[in-house]
Amino acid sequence: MLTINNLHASVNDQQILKGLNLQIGPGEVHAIMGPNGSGKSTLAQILAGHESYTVDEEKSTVLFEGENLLELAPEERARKGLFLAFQYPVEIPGISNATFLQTALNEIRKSRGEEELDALDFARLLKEKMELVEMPEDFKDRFVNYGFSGGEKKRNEILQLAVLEPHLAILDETDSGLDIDALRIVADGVNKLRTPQRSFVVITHYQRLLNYIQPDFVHVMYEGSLIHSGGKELALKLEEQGYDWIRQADVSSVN
Amino acid sequence: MTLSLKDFYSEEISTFQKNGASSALKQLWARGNSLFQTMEFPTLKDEAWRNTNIRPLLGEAFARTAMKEISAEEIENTVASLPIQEEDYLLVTVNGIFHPEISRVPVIAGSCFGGLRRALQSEESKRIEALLDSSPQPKHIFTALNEAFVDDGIVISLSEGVALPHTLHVLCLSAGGEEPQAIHERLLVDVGRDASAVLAIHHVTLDDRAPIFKTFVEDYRFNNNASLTRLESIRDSSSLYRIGHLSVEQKEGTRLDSFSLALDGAKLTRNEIEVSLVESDCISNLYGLALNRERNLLDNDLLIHHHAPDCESRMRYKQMLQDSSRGVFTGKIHVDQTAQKTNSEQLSANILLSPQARMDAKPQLEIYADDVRCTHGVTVGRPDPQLFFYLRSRGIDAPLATKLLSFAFVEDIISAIPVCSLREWFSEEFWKRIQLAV
Ligand SMILES: Nc1ncnc2c1ncn2[C@@H]1O[C@H](COP(=O)(O)OP(=O)(O)OP(=O)(O)O)[C@@H](O)[C@H]1O
Ligand SMILES: [Mg+2]
Repeated sequence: MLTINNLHASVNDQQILKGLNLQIGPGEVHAIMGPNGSGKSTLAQILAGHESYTVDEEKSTVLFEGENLLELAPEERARKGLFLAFQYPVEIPGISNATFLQTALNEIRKSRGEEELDALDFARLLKEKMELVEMPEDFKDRFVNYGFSGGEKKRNEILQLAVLEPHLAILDETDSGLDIDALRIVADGVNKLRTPQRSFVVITHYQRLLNYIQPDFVHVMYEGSLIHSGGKELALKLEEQGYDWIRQADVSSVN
Repeated sequence: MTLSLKDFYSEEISTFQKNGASSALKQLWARGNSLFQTMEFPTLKDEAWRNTNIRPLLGEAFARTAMKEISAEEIENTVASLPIQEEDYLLVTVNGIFHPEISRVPVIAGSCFGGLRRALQSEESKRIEALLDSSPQPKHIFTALNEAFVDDGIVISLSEGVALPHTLHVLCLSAGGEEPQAIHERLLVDVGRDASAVLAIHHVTLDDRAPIFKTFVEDYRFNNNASLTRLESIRDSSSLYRIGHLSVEQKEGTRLDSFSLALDGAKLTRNEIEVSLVESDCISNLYGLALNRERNLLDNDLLIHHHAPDCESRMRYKQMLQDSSRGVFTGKIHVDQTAQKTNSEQLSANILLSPQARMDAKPQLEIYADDVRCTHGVTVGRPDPQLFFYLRSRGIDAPLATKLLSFAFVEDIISAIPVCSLREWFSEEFWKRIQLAV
């Protein structure tokens, strides 16, 4: 599904990702944890195609379903089935949630040679997906994320995920700022969207989310690379002991 | 050059003013003419025209239009292209002359709708004469010209307590010819005590083979507790030069909601609005929206003068600028010492959709009262790159993302239009143009 090899990236000449490797197979759920500023969102943004980051294309390779992801424009990545749930979703006053999602879905469908959904079919689909994330119906007519609470924005990201049905979804701290009920709703939503083909990257600071969304792998991001990987029990250990023990192990392994 | 142009217009005026007219009209002509003689054409050195280059307008001698015949079919097609419902009223002018045969005039006892010349001969003539007598004095040479050439125009006078049940549309057709032509048009609106109406003015240019110079002077009087929604749709051609001046006088407890919506701009548009809130408890909302293209220039020059306490005013003007177009916004708020508890809001928001486009916007606040709330803001920018990326990350490509964000930018003004059929029409028309333009 996704193969990242020796990814180097910088912003304003500041090196942020320093040789990151990651391999994700179909249907797998990978969790990425790591201290603030270690580069988790940077990785997510680069995969989505954000242009502020400079990827060192000599060293780095990123293959998504066999294709060189780094050559594709952000919209092409989305059309090929990549989705990023943003850590900080933006507000778009003036465009309703329904219009936004219908446009996005139809652009993706068109690019795949599929027929566009008309207003009626789309309304039906949207209703079903909104129920999945337990979102009140009037949110479809509200402007995208405009005036939404922090938790509502995150839930709206999952609604978009549900409508656009990507092959690979990256969730950047979707659990941050959610109350206990919202966390369960979001996690349930994600679990219902899990299929043997669809893969997830879940970036989080809290082991609690991983009780709901059971990961196949847990990775630790530290200063721009994934320095440690394990199964879901690694998340528990991090929750109890923090990152220090890995840092020390990392330093000693370099020595 | 300017001197000979002035001579040319002086000649034109004296020929025109040999026509017969009622004494009220003749008085107006005399005032217009004498002011014209004492005034000069503005230059970039004049503070009020600093960003508005009118030299192309002065490079041409525009003769007053002859009567122009427009086929019934062409008028029908134009009417059909507008958001006019079956039950709505319609007043049509061609080059400033009222055409009753293609109008649907409301019939309400004591009120008056239609051509200025006819109104001056009707039972209501005394009232109309009084309105003309007290019309504000031209402040520059173009409005003086307008006054010197008033031939007809539209009068709308709503008597006390009348709530007009349907939208009243005024369709102003500008039809040029093979030579440069001038059209001077006038609209006089008097809203009686407790009366209310929705007025939609549509400017459409039909024949633009040669340049057209159009002046349009609107004069609004609000009597106590009157309210009016004024919508203006502009579909000009880039061979047209438009100088518009709108003056408003609001008495106690009155409300104006004005929407100036420029769908297709003229080569040069100068749009002046002057609102005087002379008594307390008034509301005056001025909204404006324009999609500016090519090498066109749109200059909005607005003044709201608070003379009396407890009034609320708002200016909310937005421009999208394409190609090498230019925009100017001057928003003046003047609050007299007597105008305590004034609440005034001003916003000029602009997006530049091309690197050659340019916008000059400035607020001018003069506040002499201490207990007031006045806010103002100017923004000039490009579509927000964060929003842009968000849309693209959902599969929407860059051109479509720009269109959607442009539409999002104008949405708040369109959604403030209080009449559903008009709101939907403007929404569609702007979306159509955004799709072509961006
Ligand atoms: N556009 C940018 N401009 C400047 N610095 C940036 C930019 N984006 C990221 N950085 C820097 O790169 C480093 C990694 O940031 P990133 O947001 O990827 O961290 P993170 O692991 O997601 O942190 P958190 O857990 O706090 O969300 C930080 O030092 C950050 O300041
Ligand atoms: Mg982050």
